[in-house]
Amino acid sequence: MSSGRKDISNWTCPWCFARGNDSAPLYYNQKKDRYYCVRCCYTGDYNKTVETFKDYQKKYRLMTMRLELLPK
Amino acid sequence: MINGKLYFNLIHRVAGSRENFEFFKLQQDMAHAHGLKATVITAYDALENPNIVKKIKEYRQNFGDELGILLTDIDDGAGMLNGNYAFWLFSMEKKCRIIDASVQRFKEVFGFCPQVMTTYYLDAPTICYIKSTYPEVQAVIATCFEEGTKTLKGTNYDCYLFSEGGPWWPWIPSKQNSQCPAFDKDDDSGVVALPHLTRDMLLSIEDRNDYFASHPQNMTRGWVFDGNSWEYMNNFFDMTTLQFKYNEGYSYSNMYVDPKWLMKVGRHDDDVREAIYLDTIKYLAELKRSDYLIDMGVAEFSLWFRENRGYNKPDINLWEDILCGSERKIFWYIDSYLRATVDPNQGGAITDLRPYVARLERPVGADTQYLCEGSYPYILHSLYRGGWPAYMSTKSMFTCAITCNGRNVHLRTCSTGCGYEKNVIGPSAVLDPVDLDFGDVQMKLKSVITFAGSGHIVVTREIVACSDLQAEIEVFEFFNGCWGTNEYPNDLRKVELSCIGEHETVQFPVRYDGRMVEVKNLKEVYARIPDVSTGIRLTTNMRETVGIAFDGLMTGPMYTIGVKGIVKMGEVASTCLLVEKI
Repeated sequence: MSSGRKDISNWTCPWCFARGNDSAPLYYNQKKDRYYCVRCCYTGDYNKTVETFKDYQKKYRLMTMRLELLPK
Repeated sequence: MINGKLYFNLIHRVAGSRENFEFFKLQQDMAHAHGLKATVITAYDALENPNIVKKIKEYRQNFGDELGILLTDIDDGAGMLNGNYAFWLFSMEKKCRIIDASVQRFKEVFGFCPQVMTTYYLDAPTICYIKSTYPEVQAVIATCFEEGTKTLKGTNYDCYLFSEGGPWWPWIPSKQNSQCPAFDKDDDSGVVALPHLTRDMLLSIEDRNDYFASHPQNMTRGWVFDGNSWEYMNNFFDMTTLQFKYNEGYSYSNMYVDPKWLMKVGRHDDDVREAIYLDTIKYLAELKRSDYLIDMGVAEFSLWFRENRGYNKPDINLWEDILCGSERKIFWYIDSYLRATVDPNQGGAITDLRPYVARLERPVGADTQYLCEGSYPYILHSLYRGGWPAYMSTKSMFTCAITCNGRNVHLRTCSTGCGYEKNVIGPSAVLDPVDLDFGDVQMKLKSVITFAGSGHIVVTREIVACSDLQAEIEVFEFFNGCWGTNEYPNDLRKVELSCIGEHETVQFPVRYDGRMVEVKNLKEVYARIPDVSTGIRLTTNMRETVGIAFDGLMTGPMYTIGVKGIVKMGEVASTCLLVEKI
């Protein structure tokens, strides 16, 4: 196991998440020093996992935009 | 001058563990610091903890917080429950034991009967038991709007809560099926039912909707935030509030977040869980100060609801995309007879229809025929049923095809906008006119879908501009029907189709043979669906009418009934769809 590894073992698999499943846990493979999903073929470390979630967030184009819908 | 309000319930739940209690107190402090009323729901194990009970009594005395009880396991899985914990899945006998034990303990602790009970799903027999045994109960949290098939997948097949097909806002539940709004006093189960959370009504049809709900930490669970930016939450409450434009000044939401969602559990959103809850409380308080929001206790709201909304008053929702930037809208309608979804993105097709008029008795639990399947059945659903080839190459929906000079356009391919009007016969989804190009003839066609009450839906098509004023078009309104509660096809062989004309009547049962019948000089077409005790009747005012009935195919397991007729500019094609009990 690499030292300083960011623990994401309580996160859900980003590929399963993209299919609406947020309960597919990530497991750590110590020999290969990476996380993997038992439901799909995803493997990756912290950075790749965050990057994959960020890709999914592109769907939320208005996520950081305050729309001010109510008349003042 | 603000001519509408968001009626709002803030609900905090406490269980017996120390950590849960600490975060519950944090939630309560946030609410009280910002002047919001809270309703406190106690789990059975919290009633056994003197410190928690003492604190709850203080909240009640100092802030007037209402108290209610959570219906859940009462013995930590060690006794009669054998590890089960989902209240709605127990047998009726065990549900009654849990209710009785919970109320008895609550009374011992607080000296009165709770007015509010919550869980995630309550069927009609359970509600009727509660009200007949404890008439003090005024309100229940009864369902989770549109959670079911998609949430089962979303929880990796771990959560057996099927609650699709019900109301998105509070209602008075029928004695026969808790998801149906009561017709009248005779049908009234005696409580006001609330949904657990309110939802993004557009994303509710796309996929699981718990990420997009009045629950801040569900939103962060769905990655709908970036750093410290979670604007969607405020946009969500704004869009919810705006629904008062379509509901006589009324809109509704509740926020019911278990304290566990504020804890750090090694998830990606650990660092923002507290902050987003506090920010949301602050924004709701701001809405209150701005005169947009009225906060109430749950029982207090239920009394207001009975007095001001009552029986069979339609709720409308016209929701706009506030997250994905598609400019898409969705229109929902509900009354005691039916629930319908109109999708402007598919030219105003009705894409989901639930026949409440049938009052299907479908209790849930280990001792019932339906086990966990609490969803109220649909009679069409565009996301759950299609096929290849399917009739008119479409999904299960009620839609229209227009033919002119031998060219054909499906309205479901004409994405458009939608507004709301209330005309003389009822509330309407008014679709923006769509441009139709038939080669040598171009026109604009306007569609209006009006909910006339008592199960009647009136669809009108009108040419509002045309390059050839004498051009005639054939309007073909058709209903690709099925029935079910989830994404798998059900047996349609009990369905009977009828085409009734001036001079002949043809009737046949569905056999998946692809049989097609046309009858001229149509009076009506009819589908009888015994499995859901529902009849579908189509009539029209058009000229040169033809009725269609189509048997369906195993590869596209939907039957079709439809009406064709001729109209031109200056005429309005009006077709009535009646959903009735058989």
